[in-house]
Amino acid sequence: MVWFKVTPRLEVSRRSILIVTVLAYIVSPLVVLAVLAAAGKNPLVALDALYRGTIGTTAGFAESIVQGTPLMLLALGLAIAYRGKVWNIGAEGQQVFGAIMVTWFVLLFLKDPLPAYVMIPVALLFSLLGGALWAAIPAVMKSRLGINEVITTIMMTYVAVQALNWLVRGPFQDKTIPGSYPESPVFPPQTALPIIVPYTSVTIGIIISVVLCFIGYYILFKTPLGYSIRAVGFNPSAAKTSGISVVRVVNSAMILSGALAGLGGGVYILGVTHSLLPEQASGIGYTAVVVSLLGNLHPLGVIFSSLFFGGLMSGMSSVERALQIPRTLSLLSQGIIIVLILIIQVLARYEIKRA
Amino acid sequence: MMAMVLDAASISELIAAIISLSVPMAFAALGEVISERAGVINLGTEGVMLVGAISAFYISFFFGSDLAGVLLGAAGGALLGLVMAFISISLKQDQILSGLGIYFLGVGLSGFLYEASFGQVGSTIRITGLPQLPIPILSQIPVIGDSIFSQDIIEYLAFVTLILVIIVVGRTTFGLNIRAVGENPSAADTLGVSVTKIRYAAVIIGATLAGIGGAYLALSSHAFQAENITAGRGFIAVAMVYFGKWRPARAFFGTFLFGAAYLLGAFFQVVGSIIPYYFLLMVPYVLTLVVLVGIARGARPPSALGVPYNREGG
Amino acid sequence: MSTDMPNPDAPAIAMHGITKKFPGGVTANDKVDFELRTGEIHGLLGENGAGKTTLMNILYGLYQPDGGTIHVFGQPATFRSPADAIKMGIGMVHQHFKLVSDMTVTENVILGLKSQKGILTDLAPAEARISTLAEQHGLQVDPRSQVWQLAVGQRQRVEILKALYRDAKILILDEPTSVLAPSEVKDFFKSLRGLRESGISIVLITHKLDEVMDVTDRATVLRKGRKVATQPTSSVNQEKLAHMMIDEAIPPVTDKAKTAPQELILRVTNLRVFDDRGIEALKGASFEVRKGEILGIAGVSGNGQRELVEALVGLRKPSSGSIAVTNTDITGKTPRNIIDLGVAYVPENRTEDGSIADFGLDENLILKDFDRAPICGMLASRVPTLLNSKEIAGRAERAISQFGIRATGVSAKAGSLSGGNLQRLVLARELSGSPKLIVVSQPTRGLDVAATEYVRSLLIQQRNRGAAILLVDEDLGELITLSDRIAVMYKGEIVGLLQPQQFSSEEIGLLMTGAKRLTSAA
Repeated sequence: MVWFKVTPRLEVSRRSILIVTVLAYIVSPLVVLAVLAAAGKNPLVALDALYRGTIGTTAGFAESIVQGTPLMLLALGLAIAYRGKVWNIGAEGQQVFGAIMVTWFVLLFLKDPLPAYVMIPVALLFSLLGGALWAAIPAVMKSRLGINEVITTIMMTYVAVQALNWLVRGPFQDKTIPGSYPESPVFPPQTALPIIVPYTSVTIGIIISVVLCFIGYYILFKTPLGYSIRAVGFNPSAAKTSGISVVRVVNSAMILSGALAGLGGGVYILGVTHSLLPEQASGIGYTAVVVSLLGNLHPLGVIFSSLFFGGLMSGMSSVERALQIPRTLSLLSQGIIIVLILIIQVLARYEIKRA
Repeated sequence: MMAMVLDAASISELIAAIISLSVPMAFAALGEVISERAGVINLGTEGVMLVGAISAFYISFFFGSDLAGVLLGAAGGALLGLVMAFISISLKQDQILSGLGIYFLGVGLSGFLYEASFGQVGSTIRITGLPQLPIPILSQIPVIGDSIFSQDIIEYLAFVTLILVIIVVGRTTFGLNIRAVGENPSAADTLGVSVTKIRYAAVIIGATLAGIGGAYLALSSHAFQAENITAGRGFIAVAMVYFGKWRPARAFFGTFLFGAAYLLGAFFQVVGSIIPYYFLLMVPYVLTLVVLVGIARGARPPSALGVPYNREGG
Repeated sequence: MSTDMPNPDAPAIAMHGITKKFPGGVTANDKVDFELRTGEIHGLLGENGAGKTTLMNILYGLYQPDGGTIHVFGQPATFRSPADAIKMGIGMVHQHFKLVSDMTVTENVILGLKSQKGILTDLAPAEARISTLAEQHGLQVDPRSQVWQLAVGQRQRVEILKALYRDAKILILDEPTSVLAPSEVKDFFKSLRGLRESGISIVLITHKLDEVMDVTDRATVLRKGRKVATQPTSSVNQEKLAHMMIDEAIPPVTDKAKTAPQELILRVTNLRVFDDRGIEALKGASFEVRKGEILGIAGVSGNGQRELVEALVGLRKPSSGSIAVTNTDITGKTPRNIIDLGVAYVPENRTEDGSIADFGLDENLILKDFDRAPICGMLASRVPTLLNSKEIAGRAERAISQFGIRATGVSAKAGSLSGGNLQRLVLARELSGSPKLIVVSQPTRGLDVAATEYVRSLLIQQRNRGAAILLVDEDLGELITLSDRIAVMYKGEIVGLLQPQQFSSEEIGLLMTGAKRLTSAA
């Protein structure tokens, strides 16, 4: 198997990373179109639907933003955690639990809601706490016991999803409507995130997300916390020798990413669904892993990659409607894209020679 | 699973059900032991099992041959194993990330193939399972005769595979190479053992076994509920390798614990209990967490696990 | 391939015009010629970085040369991997052993070889053959024992047996005595002579001139990638060899100012520490270090020094005993607490523990105080806020000029620095702030002459300033030059505490191997 040799490059310029990332952005949709063509569908129709679904129409553009917003928050948290080599794969469970905590709070005030400027911030705070709590257990298991966080965060996700299933059919179920639907009562209007683009569902969520990305950038590169996370990610041994508490850093990174994931779940439930549904477990937590990678684990890069993916998801729905193809195509696209990203990034970081 | 009373017949059914539920994870765990002993952790096992499941389901439904289904499942596993090996060994990408890529790929691929072939997700298209093959004489033994000695062919294969893996790892040159490559790849390299080739082989074999496990899962469940047929079994299989301290037999039988855990949900649902159904569904996952905490202190993985091998210099 | 029969008059190895360049512009070998005659022990000499190991790695197939030819017993040869070299009868024992610690000796020896029983391993005949070879060459070791149970000298035997098992006619040994105590070296040389009698040709890579004089027939000196000369050992002496190896006059170490005993800085009392395997590595050590003195710790590596150092800097919890720095007890405290008390640490492994390769120079320099003023802005003097980039850059610039670090800029990645420059970086960080106690381990390992000299002078400077220094060093000469007192460790105990008038490598050697003992057992 030694036809070629792959060795790491000594100097990886920022420019080549940028070029390669843009390449990934361009190539991935092309690959998806190729797959469609191979399946016998007309790629031109697909391309047109894709365009309309992403930026071609106001509705499409708005949908891209709506899809991208919670993704941005989740991916931001993951980018920070991954910099510390804390592989949080449980963003899905953390965002579900964030939504659960929001629901719990809102249901307490269902009959008699407080004004919006109280309900919304407090609800979002609950979502933050929910996500942080859900990440705390795997955090401690890793920092104190050295247990692989990939497995533990995934296990926590399965538990969260079952908890969701139980709650919407049990304690949180809307008993006032006839029939037995797995959903909570609809949230009062005081909990709805204000819409900033009329006639769409684009809320202040996008503003919150972008602002947090900038804050995330500062945290990661300009504060001691971010410095310690990066140090531990690059070389935990040297970090420990120099007095950095690796336990504290791992906990911080994990819990911070959990909190952001929880917030993403909160933004989704208060901005889009306005009630707790089984669909809260949409798989967005797994998509966020791909999005954070595509953003090069950089808080500002995440802004672009999450909007790109939001556009992709919106575009794919449009394509599905136009071509009558099943939803799982998006799932397949994600899988292809992550593999593609990993392979494309090799171009920037390694040199390939004939052996 | 109708028997409620704990008599001989129902214990026997219980054992049979546990074996049936555990075998997919057992295959995956054996495969992962091989892969990890060689130094490569494959978190994509879940995705591989899904691909194995859809392959077997497809063949079984359209062509009626279950064994061909298992073969295709194995082939699908091998293919994904090749991709994983390429990304993590040749391209030297981080093994955790590579494994995740395989996971997503497997989820997407299996879901897409299901819908492309059968339409709506979640519809109850069923296939007939594998026939029981009772072993003469032994299957007459009360209680265990009906369960342990009256399994279907793949279940027997699981136990045979366990023995094979133990022999291969402990007593063959291939196994020696695997162990060396996982503990001190540099040592193996200087003696002329190709670290790359051995790791490729280990990863592909591991994924092939996981593919077989996934295939059996589809065949024994008789239905394919798209994304959730594996429900985390692949990850639990990886956790079982830790639990078993990288020894084949321990990892193998560890999965039986979890087969029993998956059973609880179905069992108590029929019995009716005060514990909500969904809580029982949580049991395998909570159990995994508990088990991981329990064995955390004693675990010593292969020294080169997770580290891509770089021979310094040109 | 020209002839099939090996030419009996041809040298065992003939390397001609070997050139090897590494990325980054380093030319490790520059048109080097090297010849090994059949049945000789040939010393390959040179300083760190002269190219000796690179040359032999090329011979063993680990590296591909950029130019030049190789002939083995008269046959031209190209080695794409060690397997090719092994086939031609070449065996190599590396400085860092390549053994799988979890496997038995037999398993390690047969690794990579075809088994008689097809796919199954065939251990019994292998065991027998290993025992025979061991007896034959005086390299006794139990084939059934697992490698992790073996002592260093025994592991070395396993490495040699690996080569002999494969019918090696040529043996390359890379710094083999670096892990042995002086008396073990005698036995080792005896084995070497025995191997030579059986017709095996040996290359001995070393930088130790006394050993070259002791056991080699000829010696080749490399300097900065080029061959300087090849001479029969009988026609040279240590001074001549040293002169060939080094082209600069070494400035003498600045004289240590003789000072009267001062305030006690470090006191270690009955310290006991366990290692990673749960075995007691340090068995009740007690000593003191005063202000303005260097206490050297001598000993073959693996006798508890690592665990002692780790306990002192907070990376390992002692099981009993105490450590106090300026009367403050630090036993079992975290690295953070210990650093805050004025303890600096220059670790043995500067790339793994002493620096972060992916961080720039500037980021590496703030590793210990990135969350304090003036590097970090503070709110109400207690809460860290943002990193102060001006301060950080300023510190880096001062460090570069003060410590002579050669780098492309303040944000050059630490991973791009050469060994000497990296050590300067680590020292710049650790020595700033006038630490009370400096714990330093193998400070000049892998450094060239100029860097070595610089590091030594820095340590003396710090001593004269009043720092207490604990110096763990495998380089006995360096230890003797720098230390005010020397403690010798053997099997986890301090077996001797020497005053300057007692410093001699003989005396220290005897203590290091347990042949002699000056202190009473703990």
